[in-house]
Amino acid sequence: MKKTSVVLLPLLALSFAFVTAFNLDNAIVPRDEILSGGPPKDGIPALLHPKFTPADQAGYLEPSDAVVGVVIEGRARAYPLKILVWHEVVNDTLAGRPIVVTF
Amino acid sequence: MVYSRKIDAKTYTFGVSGRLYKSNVLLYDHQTESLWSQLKAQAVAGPLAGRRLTALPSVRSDWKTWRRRHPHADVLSVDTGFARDYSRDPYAGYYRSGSTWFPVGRVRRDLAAKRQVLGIEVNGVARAYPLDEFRRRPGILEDRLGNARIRIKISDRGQVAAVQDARGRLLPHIFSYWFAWQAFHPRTSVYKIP
Repeated sequence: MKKTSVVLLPLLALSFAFVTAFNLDNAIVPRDEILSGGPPKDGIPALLHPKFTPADQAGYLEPSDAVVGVVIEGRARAYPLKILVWHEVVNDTLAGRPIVVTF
Repeated sequence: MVYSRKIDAKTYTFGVSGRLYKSNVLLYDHQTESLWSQLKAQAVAGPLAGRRLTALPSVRSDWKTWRRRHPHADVLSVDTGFARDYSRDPYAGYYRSGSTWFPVGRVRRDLAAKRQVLGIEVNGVARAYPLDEFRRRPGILEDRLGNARIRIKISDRGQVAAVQDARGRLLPHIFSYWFAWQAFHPRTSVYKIP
């Protein structure tokens, strides 16, 4: 009995910490509509330090591949959907503007 | 969707929270752990609850077309620091299936839930354009959203090349399923070919 609780208590504490990882106290939408979506926090890894390749060296892209294109002050950048679907969030800076590309 | 990471003169970075709101991804910012709705463009919980994200114009294109238009553009590298098979689509099954994964509440029956739409909102007036309608009419589609005149440029292959206001400035827009668009824009109208 004692042994079981020694194992269970930390587990319980852990799962509680996971459930309360985000503070929903002042949510502006119904709290019961904020649901877990399968992968845990950061289970889908956002990109924080994206690297870029010149267009003529992007051999991993087919002509028909879908991209999200952004132009800021004449600087153009493309974000292939086939990379975005794995990361969902790219934190980037383009022409000095901090942007987030999200899919 | 593309947003500025600057909110009230502070710069934030974002991650994936693992939480959903109306079946749509909630991001979180690393600095305050507020939860941000991707489609609502607003923090829905946490210290920044209620703050809004500023949308920036972007286009959806195929690589060939984008490259022709922007030969000097650079492109996000597959060297991401993560071992992922970028030739494989992790959501392949989801695109094909006819149902939504998570509850979104009642879905208006104007369109089928998984019909893909172009969604545009100008000054609080929202309209959904079923993407398959564009295949039949390349060229320029002029429309009016509230008092705003907009133009949707459609390529010969039926792709949305640009969404502009009357002065030719690019307007933010998103591609979405009907169920998601109508969940975040409950008063949206649906474009019908005249």
